[in-house]
Amino acid sequence: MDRDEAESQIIALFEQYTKVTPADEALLTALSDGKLYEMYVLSELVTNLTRRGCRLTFHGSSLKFKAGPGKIKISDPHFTVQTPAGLHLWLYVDIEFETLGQVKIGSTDLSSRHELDIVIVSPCGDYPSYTDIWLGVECKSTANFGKHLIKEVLGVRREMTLLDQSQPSLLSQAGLSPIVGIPSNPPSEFWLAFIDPAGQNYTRSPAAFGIELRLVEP
Amino acid sequence: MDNDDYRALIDILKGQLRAAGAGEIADDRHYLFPDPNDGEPRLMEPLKQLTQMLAAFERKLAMEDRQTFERALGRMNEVLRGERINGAEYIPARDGDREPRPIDLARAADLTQVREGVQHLIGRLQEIPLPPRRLG
Repeated sequence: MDRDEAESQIIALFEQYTKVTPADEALLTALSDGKLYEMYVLSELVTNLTRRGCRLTFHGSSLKFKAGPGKIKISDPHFTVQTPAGLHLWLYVDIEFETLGQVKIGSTDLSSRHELDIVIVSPCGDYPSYTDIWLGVECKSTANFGKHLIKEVLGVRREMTLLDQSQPSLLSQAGLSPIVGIPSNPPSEFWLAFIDPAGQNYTRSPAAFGIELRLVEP
Repeated sequence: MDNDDYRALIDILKGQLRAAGAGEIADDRHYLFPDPNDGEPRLMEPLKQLTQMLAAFERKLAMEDRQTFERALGRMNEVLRGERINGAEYIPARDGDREPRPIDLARAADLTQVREGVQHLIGRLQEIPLPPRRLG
């Protein structure tokens, strides 16, 4: 291959891409917001929970991914997760939770809630408290992984748990296997899902806070 | 091809990425590494930067590809009890008192051929013998 051939191929690939790209602005917004990636990560979680011994049921007709996060509404499409111990949990997407700081201080400004892309919570009303969360997932749909993503999830994780001695995660205590140890309280599990393999170079320090970095490639 | 050829191709690729609304991938800061001698950030070798930039573009395509939608739906329906999931929608933010129009994510384009083309090009570029390293 020479330079002219490579140049022609690059230009042809982008022409092909432009030709098939949908014209609908709203659809393009959804795709650039990473909603398809979020859906793929959701399928990874559903598969993972099944492998770990859960039974999942979907309530609704179609999945709904929102432009902005909101509260738990039983009428919104969601899953119920039955654990091996027989507990029933809820799995929702695009939910805000009440932060640890808010519960401690009682403040009600814009810092009192943070978003999680995917959550498993014990049945609760409106906005789950950080104590209701059994597992949270942040999906990072950026083609290039950067350290700023780690900083973001460290902040969210800080509002979910306090560092503590390692103990089985809430899901492990409900019979899921293998047992996952979490060095914080409450021992919720937390995934940072990403698509760029470069993210695998950032796993160790976040693990000290119970953050699991997961390469999820569609 | 030599490093000047690869740099010229990087410039062309950056132009195409920006025109396609993917200028973020073209940013050089994603292709820096710390120099083992003085810790200062340095750009990768041009061929490596070119192939990594193409790989990042392929990841962007994966996140917009209808195949990703179909695979995700298939994986979930395979393990669910009872009702199946029929599809997936995106709900834009409410604009004043107008109800948002749900967007069917199944309308994403099938990008299989473009993704295969990018992977093929990366493979071809990596087959080319590397230019001699400058010594000293």
